[in-house]
Amino acid sequence: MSALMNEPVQASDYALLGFSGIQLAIPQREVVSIDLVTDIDTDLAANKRVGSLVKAGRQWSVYALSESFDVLHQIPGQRRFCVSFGSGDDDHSFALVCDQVEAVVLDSVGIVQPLPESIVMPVMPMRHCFRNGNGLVLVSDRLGMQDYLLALDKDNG
Amino acid sequence: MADVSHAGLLKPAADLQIAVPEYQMAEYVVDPDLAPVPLAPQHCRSVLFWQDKIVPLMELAQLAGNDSAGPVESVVVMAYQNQPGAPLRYVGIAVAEPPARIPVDDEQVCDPAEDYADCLRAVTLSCFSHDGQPTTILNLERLGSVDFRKLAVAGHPRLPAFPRDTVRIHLPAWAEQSNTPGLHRTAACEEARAYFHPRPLLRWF
Repeated sequence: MSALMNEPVQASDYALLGFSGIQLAIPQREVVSIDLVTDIDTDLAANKRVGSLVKAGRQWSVYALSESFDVLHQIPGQRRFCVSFGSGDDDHSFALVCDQVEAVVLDSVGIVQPLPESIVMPVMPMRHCFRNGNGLVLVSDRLGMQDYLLALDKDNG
Repeated sequence: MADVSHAGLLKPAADLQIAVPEYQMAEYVVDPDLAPVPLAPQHCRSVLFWQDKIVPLMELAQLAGNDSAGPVESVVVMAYQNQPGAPLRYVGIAVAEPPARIPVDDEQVCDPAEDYADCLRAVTLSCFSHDGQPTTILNLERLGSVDFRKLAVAGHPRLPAFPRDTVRIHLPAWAEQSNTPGLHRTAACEEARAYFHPRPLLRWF
């Protein structure tokens, strides 16, 4: 269970990952690296993963998500960046491909609030949100996304 | 002469009309500013940016089985409390027409339509006839609850646990079939049957 599920959001600096119209915020401190999608080894695609990022003997399973948070089996052309989470030393390390990445400081963009309880589903990796400009930002964290992606992998059998 | 009060009449779809207390209607918003939420339930798959708030949007037509509903063009923002003194909560109801103000009195009480969706029965406080069409009174507190979200997502009827002195409901069809595997007519179902008598409408408005 992710800490996000139980505790109020306490981070103030977020990495904002944009893909297919989705804005997903994850605490900056949980981002290990940002690489180009050209660095992904797509020959290592398996199950729900579009490939792996291999650096210095460490490996991150790479996922591409759609606007509905379904996994995509190919990296869409507009995805340019690969954001990695976890040490790369274990099976739980992962990376997400996105169209853009930017840093946001919550004090400057608004107030994080819980997603309405009528919307929150157990499967959701996000429990909070805030408004950024004209869009909705969904707030998650590394553990929340990790649990979600692992569940998707298991779902595939 | 019967007492008369006024209700807000909302039409989430051309063939679906519901009533809400006027005092709970905060604003009618045309061309609302919406944002989809991935992995959310089908009937509540977006949020509405309204004033400085992020408000869940309910598409009741989805619960009525109308999967072909088009894009949401207008919304009525509702305000409610879970209990007296509690902070105000907000929910948006997608509507196909502007809301109307209609008179209601206790003489109009009736049963919901036979084919009224079970999910919508679960958020029904009472029902009255308006223009010859059964019009249910919406329970906003229930609509915004986790229990209702679970019920709606489960996609199968289940006997709602209402306070017995405030709600009248019909048994869902499965409860009438004692031979349904795993589902038996329970004491709770029999209790629910006792609710089936008209309740005054004016308490809601």
